Amino acid sequence: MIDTSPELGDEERDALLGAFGAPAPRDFAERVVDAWSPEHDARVSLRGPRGRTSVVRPGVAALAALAAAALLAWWVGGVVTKGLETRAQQARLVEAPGDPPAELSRLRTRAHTLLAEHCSPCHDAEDARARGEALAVFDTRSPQWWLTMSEQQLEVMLSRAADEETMTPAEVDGVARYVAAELAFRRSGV
Amino acid sequence: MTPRTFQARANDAADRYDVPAVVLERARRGDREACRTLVQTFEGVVFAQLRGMLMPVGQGAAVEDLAQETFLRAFAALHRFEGPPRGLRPWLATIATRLALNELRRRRPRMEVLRDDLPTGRGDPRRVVGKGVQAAIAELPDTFRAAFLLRELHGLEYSEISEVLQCDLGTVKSRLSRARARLRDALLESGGES
Repeated sequence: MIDTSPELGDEERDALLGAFGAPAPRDFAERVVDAWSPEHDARVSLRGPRGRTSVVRPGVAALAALAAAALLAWWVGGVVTKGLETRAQQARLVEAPGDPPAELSRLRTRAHTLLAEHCSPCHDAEDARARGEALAVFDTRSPQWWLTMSEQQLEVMLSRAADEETMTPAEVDGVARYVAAELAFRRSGV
Repeated sequence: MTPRTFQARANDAADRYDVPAVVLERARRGDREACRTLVQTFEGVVFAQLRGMLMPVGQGAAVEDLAQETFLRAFAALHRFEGPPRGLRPWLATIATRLALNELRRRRPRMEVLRDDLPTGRGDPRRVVGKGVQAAIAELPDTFRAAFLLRELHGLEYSEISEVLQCDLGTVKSRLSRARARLRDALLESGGES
């Protein structure tokens, strides 16, 4: 007899499990472990870890692709920063001497709020769980947190934001708009 | 037979999916064996959720891709997981659900037939019931199906479901009520056929 109480009864639940509960493929765990590596922090490719199927949101992927294309053009154009020994040096040079446009300032503020919310504790120097390599990329506690990021790192940040399951599409869009504006500003030579 | 309470079933499931804290900690550090243990413990949870969620648009490769993506995202975010190991089950189901909802938004126009590879034989009554359940669940709107599977397959609380789906408690309850009614209708029909 089927239980008619609000919650499902055992019989109904068994039927549900019978419909969807078939076992995973035999070698599935091995394939996942192969795709995952301890060097995951070295994920600098927009495609994510090796062997995995990317499910980055289409809009964000398009923005990231545009940003990548623009970066490529920038390199091909010979505006390559050479001979820089530290990321900080590079950051000081790529930061244009003029004031950033008001829109970029607004986008930076918005992006900072999102990053502080979603990228802590790794990128939070005041958190004991912060990670050195993450702080080297950016530290949300730094007043000019964006300065330590190269253009490629900005793109990787966007890619990671798109992969971040706790971010809503609107929040990812906020990061994408910031990255696009930051890249445009750096390339403008203002 | 007296049906067990939802809490009793949830406790049973929690015991079944509890993993030693040391395994979780080792997985956080990228230990391969620990990661494999987590996958093997929870792959059934993730596959069941994704199969249920992706009923209208696809099975097989799509489910496997998203299942792998679920675990990779979980591993990437494992350092932020602060609850006890038994909380991994709803957490993974949540990640799988969000991935599935995103995938459904992208792939909605394509429709496929229901899968025909249930684990029992062609004449088995459970197969008939299973197909009826699949059909009933597949007809539900995505967010109804998500709420239903998170509750009935994985034991999430109403409040947790409302967070995952970003809707209020009343909406969660109404979606669950409608989904249960569909399932019961399907089971009654399947029972009549077999």
